[in-house]
Amino acid sequence: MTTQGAPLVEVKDLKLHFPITAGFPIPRQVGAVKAVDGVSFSIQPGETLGLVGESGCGKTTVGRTLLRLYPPTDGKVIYDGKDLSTLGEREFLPYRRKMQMIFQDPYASLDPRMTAGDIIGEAIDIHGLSSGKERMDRIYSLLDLVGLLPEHASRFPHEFSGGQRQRIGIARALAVEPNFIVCDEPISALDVSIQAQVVNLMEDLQEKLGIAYLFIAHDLSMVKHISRRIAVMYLGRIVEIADSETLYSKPMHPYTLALLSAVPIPDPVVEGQRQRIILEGDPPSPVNPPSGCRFRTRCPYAKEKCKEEDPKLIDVSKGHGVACHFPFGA
Amino acid sequence: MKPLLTIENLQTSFKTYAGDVQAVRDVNLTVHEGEVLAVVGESGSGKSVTMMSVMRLLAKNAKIQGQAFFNGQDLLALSEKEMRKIRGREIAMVFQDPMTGLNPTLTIGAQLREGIMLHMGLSKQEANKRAVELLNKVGVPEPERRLAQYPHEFSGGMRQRVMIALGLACDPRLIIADEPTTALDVTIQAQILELMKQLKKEMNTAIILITHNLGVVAGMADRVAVMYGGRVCEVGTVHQIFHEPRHPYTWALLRAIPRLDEHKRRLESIAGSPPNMLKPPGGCPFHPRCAHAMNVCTSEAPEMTEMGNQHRAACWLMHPDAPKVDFSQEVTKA
Repeated sequence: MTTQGAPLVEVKDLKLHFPITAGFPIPRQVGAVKAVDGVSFSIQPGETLGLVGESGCGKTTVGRTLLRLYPPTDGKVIYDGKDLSTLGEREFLPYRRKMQMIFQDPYASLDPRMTAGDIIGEAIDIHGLSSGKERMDRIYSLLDLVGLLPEHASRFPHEFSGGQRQRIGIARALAVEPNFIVCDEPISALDVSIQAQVVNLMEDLQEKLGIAYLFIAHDLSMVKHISRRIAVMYLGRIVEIADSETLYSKPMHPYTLALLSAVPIPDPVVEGQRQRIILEGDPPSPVNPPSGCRFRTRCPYAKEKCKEEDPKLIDVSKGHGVACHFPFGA
Repeated sequence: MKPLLTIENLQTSFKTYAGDVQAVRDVNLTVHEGEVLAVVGESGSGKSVTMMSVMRLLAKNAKIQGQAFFNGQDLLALSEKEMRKIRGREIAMVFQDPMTGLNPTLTIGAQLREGIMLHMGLSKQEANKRAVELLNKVGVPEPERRLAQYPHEFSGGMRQRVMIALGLACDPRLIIADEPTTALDVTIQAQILELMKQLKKEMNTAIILITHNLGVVAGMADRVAVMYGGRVCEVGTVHQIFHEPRHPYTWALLRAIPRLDEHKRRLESIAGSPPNMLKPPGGCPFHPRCAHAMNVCTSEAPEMTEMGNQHRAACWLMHPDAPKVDFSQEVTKA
């Protein structure tokens, strides 16, 4: 990791296990869905870290646990040198102002009974940032910042298109002047032509305001476009992390390789010549992950050692970490 | 190649309380035997409604006009009874959402057998045998055991395989696949696309692939039709569409998506939003968002212009009197 200066956000060995209970009338815990099982990374001020992986790999849970929308089972989240995992809810509030979230579904993440102005203003009220005319001015300038008009403040979510709603979601996150935003699939519900609008807006805002993003998505081409570094997750763990060009040109984990080869490229000539690594089967259940390396059940190169020993995420070169016993090109 | 399905002047509108939604406005399309035609476009462009109109699967408030010739028969003029013999037997559909496309109260076996027994007149035992074969073909492991299971016991990728098996059940000559991989992860998408390619090669079935993913189109299609605002704006071979596109919407679409194999550049977004089909804009539907729009575009809808080799685009820039645009420039920008 290109560590100039202290990281803004650092995640250390984060774990989140959702309990599975059974029994009536007194339920007992009989197992756990290990959605996130030991994830570590750090984000510099003003940078974008992409987080990719298949559905169910735990990428959304990482984002939510980071903001304490779920209480972590284990591990630390350090913001600007301060360990947040020991804080109580009240002490945590000022940090929630610094760390915000943009949600995936622009149709479900806005309260249909609140106007756009109230949606954006709610966060301002909670944190007591301003009131009266000052508050309205702030809402108008936020709307302007995301490319909407002042008169939109009095409209309700159903009066907006998907792209406009996502802009409201972005304005809401920006209202409390955060330094860090978790973007959970912010564009996957939008049409292609609108995706580009929203991505460009997010890039402009980053440049203007110096916000760091954790960009969670499954669309690898888009993640590569927007991120400086990318972490690839599989079944609750990060299997590879590197800066985005390196990850694309020199992937070392077999899963990253398969994932990259599976992404279709919009060019018939390139597509015609590509060699695909087709992974067999589906990802195993996070309730009972395989022994040793979690990817071994689908890995075309798995050996005996992969069954017995769990590979650690090791830096193979500066800023390029891989969790594999037999990485490519090592 | 012989044309298999020819759609002529198709118009579909829906009666709603807010007025008539003109979802499809004069669509002409041809699919040839054994080819893959991709229909691309954003949500609301009319790509699914076009196919649902042809299959006559729309609700009662839909008004359909035009012709759709399959094997010399106009599908839109057939009686419901005759149409039932075509659906599943001659033309099959594979739907987008593998979570809702299967009946949760019936076993996979029962759902597969239904069409086979009805269309091919096989007994239950014979149909079971055929169902096992089909599941084998689409790569569902342990097909005998799986037949007795319900959809909820299958993963998303496996359900989509079952949906494809359902589509293949009676050896149809045409499969209409409506966003067959949109709900799936990329690794599973790669499996399903590989499977569809292989099956197409083996059985020479024609496929209409409805999608908005241009990457999938580049890998699968022989020909591509680009739709916008209920009309086809450009149609051509996959090479023509990706390397010599002629319609400003196709240019814009290609420039708006990032590519995995290129370095970072700014995405060119298309300003504005897709048209409201209750009141579609006059003239060319794309003119409010088009960088090349002229006066004529706002009043007159452009005709399809043939550029040779079956490459056609509906744009006033193709008119001999139109200002000259350097097409190669527009393409390399993408």
